[in-house]
Amino acid sequence: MKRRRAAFVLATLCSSSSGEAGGVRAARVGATAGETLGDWTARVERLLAAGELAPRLVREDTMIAGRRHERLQQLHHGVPVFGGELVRQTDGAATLTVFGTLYEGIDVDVTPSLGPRDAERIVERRGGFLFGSEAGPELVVLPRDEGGYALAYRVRFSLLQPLDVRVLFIDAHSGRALLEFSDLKRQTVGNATGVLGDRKKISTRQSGAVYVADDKLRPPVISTYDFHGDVRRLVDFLDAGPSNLGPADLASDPDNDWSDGADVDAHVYAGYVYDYYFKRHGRRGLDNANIPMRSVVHPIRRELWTLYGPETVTLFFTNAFYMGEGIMYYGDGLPTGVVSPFDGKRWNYLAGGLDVVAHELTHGVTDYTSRLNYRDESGALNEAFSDIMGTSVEFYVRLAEKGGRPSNYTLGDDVITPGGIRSMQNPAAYHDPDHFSMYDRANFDNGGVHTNSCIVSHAFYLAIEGGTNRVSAITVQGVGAANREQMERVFYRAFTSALVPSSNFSQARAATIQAARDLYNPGSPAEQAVTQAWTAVGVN
Amino acid sequence: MKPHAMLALGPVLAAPFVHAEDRVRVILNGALSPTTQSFSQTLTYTEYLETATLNAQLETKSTFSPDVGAQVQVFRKLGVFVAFTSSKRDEKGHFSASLPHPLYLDRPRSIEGDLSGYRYKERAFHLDLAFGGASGHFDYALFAGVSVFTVEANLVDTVRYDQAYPYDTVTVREVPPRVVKDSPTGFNAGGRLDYRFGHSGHFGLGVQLWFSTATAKLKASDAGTVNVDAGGLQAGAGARVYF
Repeated sequence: MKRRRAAFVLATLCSSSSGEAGGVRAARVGATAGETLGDWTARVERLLAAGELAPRLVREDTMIAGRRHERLQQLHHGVPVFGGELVRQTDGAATLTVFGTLYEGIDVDVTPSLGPRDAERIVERRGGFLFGSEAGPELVVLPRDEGGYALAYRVRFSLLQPLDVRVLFIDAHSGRALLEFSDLKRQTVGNATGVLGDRKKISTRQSGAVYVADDKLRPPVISTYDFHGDVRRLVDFLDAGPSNLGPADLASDPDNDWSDGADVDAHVYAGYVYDYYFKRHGRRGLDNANIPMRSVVHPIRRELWTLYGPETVTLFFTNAFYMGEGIMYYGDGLPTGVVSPFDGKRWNYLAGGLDVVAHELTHGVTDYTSRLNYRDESGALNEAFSDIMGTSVEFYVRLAEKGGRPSNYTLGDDVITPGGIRSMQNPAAYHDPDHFSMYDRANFDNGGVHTNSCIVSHAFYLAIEGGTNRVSAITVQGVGAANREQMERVFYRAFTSALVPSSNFSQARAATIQAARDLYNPGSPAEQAVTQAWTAVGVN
Repeated sequence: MKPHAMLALGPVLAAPFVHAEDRVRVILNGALSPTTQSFSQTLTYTEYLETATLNAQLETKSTFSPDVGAQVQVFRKLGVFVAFTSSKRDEKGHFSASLPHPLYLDRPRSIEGDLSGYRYKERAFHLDLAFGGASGHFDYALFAGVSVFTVEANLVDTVRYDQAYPYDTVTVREVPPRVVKDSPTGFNAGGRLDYRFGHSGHFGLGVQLWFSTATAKLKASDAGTVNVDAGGLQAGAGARVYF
């Protein structure tokens, strides 16, 4: 059955537009006040009644009592439209804001020629394994970059050679691949200045004659698994998925005086990240429902790095990534003193970087909130949010420490020397763009998600510290370091409560400005700072 | 604190109407110890791999208590005076504590509060040499000697509290006392002025001012020592019996 829907007409107060990208009409909504908000309030109700929107996730606001955020999935004859989603903020019966994207002009028959099992076989033929609870196959309507829509199966699967977690859209009629990208939220962070040597507490559990890295003091399960460099164990895990992590893999210590730095930092920092989200934002873990947080360390002995090619080394050794389902992977880096021939840096155990750990775990938060697509602008937002929260956790923890390491806006500098991998303060120093005019439409890294993210994270930096953008020469009056909490809350609120999988930079601007109004009132220094910061980096 | 009751038998020889056979006098006193004793306690112990510190300031309240004693004339104006004093006091106090955080180094939780239900008991046996004299119906005595105290005090044992994630604050459930004892030896000195009634002179009334002291070393639960000054100044008045 085919059906054509009339295009949405949008006129929103802040940043809404009805545009055509590659032949697909998308209504990007940012309704925050006035008649526009009233129109969208009514429209959402009509779409819900018609079954063209369906609640996907409803969360109470953890920052402002009484408010609620509903994520509404766009449907086409009952089939989800990939990336089509609205977020409605309500206060009682009143709708306060509507953000998101709705796709228009969908003309797709939702009866597939292939079944889900056919899609699975396609993955198997590629040597992949369905991975995680969101593996699919899920029948969706896919907006095509080149225009139009297609009925497709979305599958998420893991590959061993090369190691990857990928999202693949398979044409539900022909079986051909329509879109594919890596869903491995990797960050080439790592290495530090050798042994960090900092003393900390670790929450463990006694099990028989040993102590295991199983945190019983925090609400969720936080556990750390040590593969002791056993590649076969790693392969088994990647093959079988999260359920394959068992008690025998738990990192352990005979006397509860832990000396394995990777075990310690992976475990302790996961707890710190949980603490930050809980105490700063009232969030209970990655999914706000205390999903277990599990870390995998020592996947391959670092001394074996010479046996592998560049791709494996940069993925298995000098990398950390979020695997989904609350699972983290931390590479061991390279042996002490070894300089990577691929980037000229020394890499320590990746788990030793607090901002690295927080960055990767924030991908989990994104997975359970905006689900920003990991490519192009939405992918850069995904990465930027992880950098922003990663740095925020570092400041939050270190400012409270006595004599601790200084915190900064450089990513990964504790474990990657010299200098880490990115700077939110001065992206240009790392050859990253600091203005939207320099947006890099790269054909690698999922559209340059790790470099374009710096435009956004630099805006975050300017909104706190103030300063002048190098390209635009626009000066921002930041809220000041003493008020950094304001910007952390603004960006957290916007990214978790207003953005949707297909959001772009402009929508992020509107969402953060609205968040500043919500939290600190219209015209507040916070709203002015975030507005100026986005303008300074060329995002309007 | 020093509620001592005391009894003193005044010196015997010179009093014109004191019968030669009145060599013993028994004294029953009610004594007021107006001064208070204060002592502080610092308790340290290991908790969550760090040092927990608990500071307490305790102070005994003034008290009124009966004492009893006897003085025997042994030679001219010299006599031997023995007395037993006993007192019980309430302790009032305040505590503050620094409790390590279970998840973070160097981020102690601070708490403070008042202490209640604490007690202090003190008993003492005094053995003195007394010198006395008489004039008409009045007689007097000066005495000094050794005091052996038994001190039983409540010190802070620990602090029990409730906590929940994220553990940044705690709620005090109780700060239970720990009973500790010591038996120090010290000294005492004092004076007494009595009035004897009638011609027989077997009964009388008198007042007494007395100071005694010793340092009790009380062992706290962390093996530390808390020094408490036992005894103190006391003023008493009461009945006298001569025979």
